[in-house]
Amino acid sequence: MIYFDNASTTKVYPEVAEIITKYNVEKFFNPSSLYLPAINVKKDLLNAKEEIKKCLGANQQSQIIFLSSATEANNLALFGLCKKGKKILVSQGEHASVFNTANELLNLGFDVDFIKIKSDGKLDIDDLKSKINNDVGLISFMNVSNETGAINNIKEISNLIKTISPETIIHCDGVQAFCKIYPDLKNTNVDAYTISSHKIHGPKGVGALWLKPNLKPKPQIWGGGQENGLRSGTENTAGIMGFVTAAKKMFENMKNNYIYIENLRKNFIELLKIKCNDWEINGSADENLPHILSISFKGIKGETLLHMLEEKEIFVSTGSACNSKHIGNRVLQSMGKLKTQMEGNIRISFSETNTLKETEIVVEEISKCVHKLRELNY
Amino acid sequence: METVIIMRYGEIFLKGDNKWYFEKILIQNIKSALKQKNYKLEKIAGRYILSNYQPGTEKELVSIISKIFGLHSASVAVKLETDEMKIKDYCSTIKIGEKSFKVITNRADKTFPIKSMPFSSILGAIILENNPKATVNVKNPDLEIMVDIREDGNTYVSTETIECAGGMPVSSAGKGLLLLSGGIDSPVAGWFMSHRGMHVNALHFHSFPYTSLLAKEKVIRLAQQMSVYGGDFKLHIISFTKAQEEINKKCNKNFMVILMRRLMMRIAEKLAHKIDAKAIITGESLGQVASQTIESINATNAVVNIPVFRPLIGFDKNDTINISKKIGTYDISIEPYEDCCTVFLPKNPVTRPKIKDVLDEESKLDIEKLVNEALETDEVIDIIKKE
Repeated sequence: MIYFDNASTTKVYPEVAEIITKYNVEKFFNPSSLYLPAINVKKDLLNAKEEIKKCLGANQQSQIIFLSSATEANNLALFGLCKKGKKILVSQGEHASVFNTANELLNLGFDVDFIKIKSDGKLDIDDLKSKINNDVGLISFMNVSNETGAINNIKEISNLIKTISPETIIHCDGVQAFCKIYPDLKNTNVDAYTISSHKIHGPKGVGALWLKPNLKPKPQIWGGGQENGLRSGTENTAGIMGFVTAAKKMFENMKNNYIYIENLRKNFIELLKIKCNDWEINGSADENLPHILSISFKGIKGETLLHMLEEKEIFVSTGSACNSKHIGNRVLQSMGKLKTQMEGNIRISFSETNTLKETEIVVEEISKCVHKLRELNY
Repeated sequence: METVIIMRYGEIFLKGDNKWYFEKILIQNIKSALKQKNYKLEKIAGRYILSNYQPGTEKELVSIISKIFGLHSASVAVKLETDEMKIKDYCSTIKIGEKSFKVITNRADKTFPIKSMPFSSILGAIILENNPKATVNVKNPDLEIMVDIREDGNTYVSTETIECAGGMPVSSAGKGLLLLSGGIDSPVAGWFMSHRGMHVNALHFHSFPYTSLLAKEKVIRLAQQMSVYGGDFKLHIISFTKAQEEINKKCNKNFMVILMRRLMMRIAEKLAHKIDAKAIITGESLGQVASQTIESINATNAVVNIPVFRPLIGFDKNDTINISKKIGTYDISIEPYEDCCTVFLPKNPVTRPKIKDVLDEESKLDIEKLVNEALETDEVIDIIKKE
């Protein structure tokens, strides 16, 4: 099996699996209980938050709220931080967990507007400038695009926003960036930042919302008051400890992994240039996160290519559903891509567990399939 | 006071000497539908009485019963000892609010001293007295209160009659093979044939990798929903990929659809013979799409000798949609996964194919080989009736 869909989810590291078992079997105590073993688990959770902050380059006074997923974190950020009577700005390139949440706020009567993205997948700064003012209560844009790997410079953009409107709360979805690039949050004007466990070899079912000190979103779930009252419900201790174990390892190896994956991508692109014609990269290959590579092949359906690769036990992704009634990818469409470009799109996403040999095999198989499909004129 | 459910059959009533055959199958189907439940089932003069079930589950049971083909109606009833005072006492407790009603007495037990009409009037007066806002309406009442005085010394009183699925018991009219695409029409076509007592098995063609495995999973879920009415059956999934690639490679693309459908019919006929199905069933509706013109239907029909049932042939799409909503298949059918009929679609499909042209195109293919190769991919899935 060759797994090139790491932006979807990742394989859990063996040491992560071990720690999950440990916290399910040995250290299974409820961190809210009053006896020593439980208090120790509580301490482990608090330490876990400090470790996560280090990976984010965040101030120690800042807050980490553990919850069930990045989707939940994004919901808490948008629903919990929006202000009555104030505008909400969201980028058109956002993941569904932000985009659809913003649309729900719109349905509920909030004033929501969308910021354009450019053909390279990055936020359109001119459009942002034209929309940002003191009426904007909350703005949300992603650090790295899950579709294309396009990187938004959160330091520059957050500085720009606060210069124009100091009171605007800035939320960034950092799911695809976390432990792949260093957000250095203490040196930005970002107020809230979402991260996820399962994109970095941690378990599914854990996410976190980082918040600046003293920033208190309205809770969306009520109960026993865990996570400083911001997210009630007994903590997923095993999941959280798995998450932090994965984060520490990823963070330690971040630079090396980046260089390694950059090389995988370079190799992939060079080989593909030799083996196959009529394709293009969505976004700017040189500036994107190397972990994600969005390619459109001319004259074929991306989903058919995906299934043909599936037959060879090669797993990739496509953002565009192969469906005669509905062809489209919201993000690629916002980048100005044509229907045929969206149709012919696949997304390759690497992790450090992939090898150069694998890129060779995958390129070989892709070009065979693409040739076959073009021959069939399908 | 015991509550029971009375089930009545419809068309079987008209059967002659072979009535026992249909009743036997109906009883089997009722038992199969209620296999997870505890109950007692008895037959009294042309109706079935369900009793001794878990109290409070009447609604759930009636919902299951209402989907059994062959049953005409069902009622939740109170079972009383046949005694004038006891029946009157019970009727005085019936609460119907502001609804209009009429009482219908059926005096099967001729030893009961009061005749049907006067007894209905007496009971109606009692109900009216205890429901001052209710009204009597003999022609079109909201509620028909049935008082059924049986020969066995029991009387059953029910306030509501629920219409059941009607038709004939599934499996009383042989086996058929439905071409199940994943769209809206074919599950409805299957439902109609189950309604007439056919044991409907299904055949789905998939075109992986041109269609997603999700399309196949969708069809399995559709089949499971169909089993709510049709009972357990077998779903055959056959790969059509090779055949499509061959046609695409060798033939005029504008004939793609008609050639595909002729091939599908041949595969279906051969499978039908193998599983002892006596008919093919399709969801075709005349003129709905290019492949369902009378010329196209002639061209596809010409390749098989087995009867092809097209119960939706005269239906408008909206009629079909309404039934698919009623039988619970609509929401699954509209999920956006493509079936094999929509891949390799030509831009200008032939809508009125001439048989000579079709035969010319077909001569470029090794039909028998393609049919046999497709049949080799047959994956059989046991669809077990959904609770």
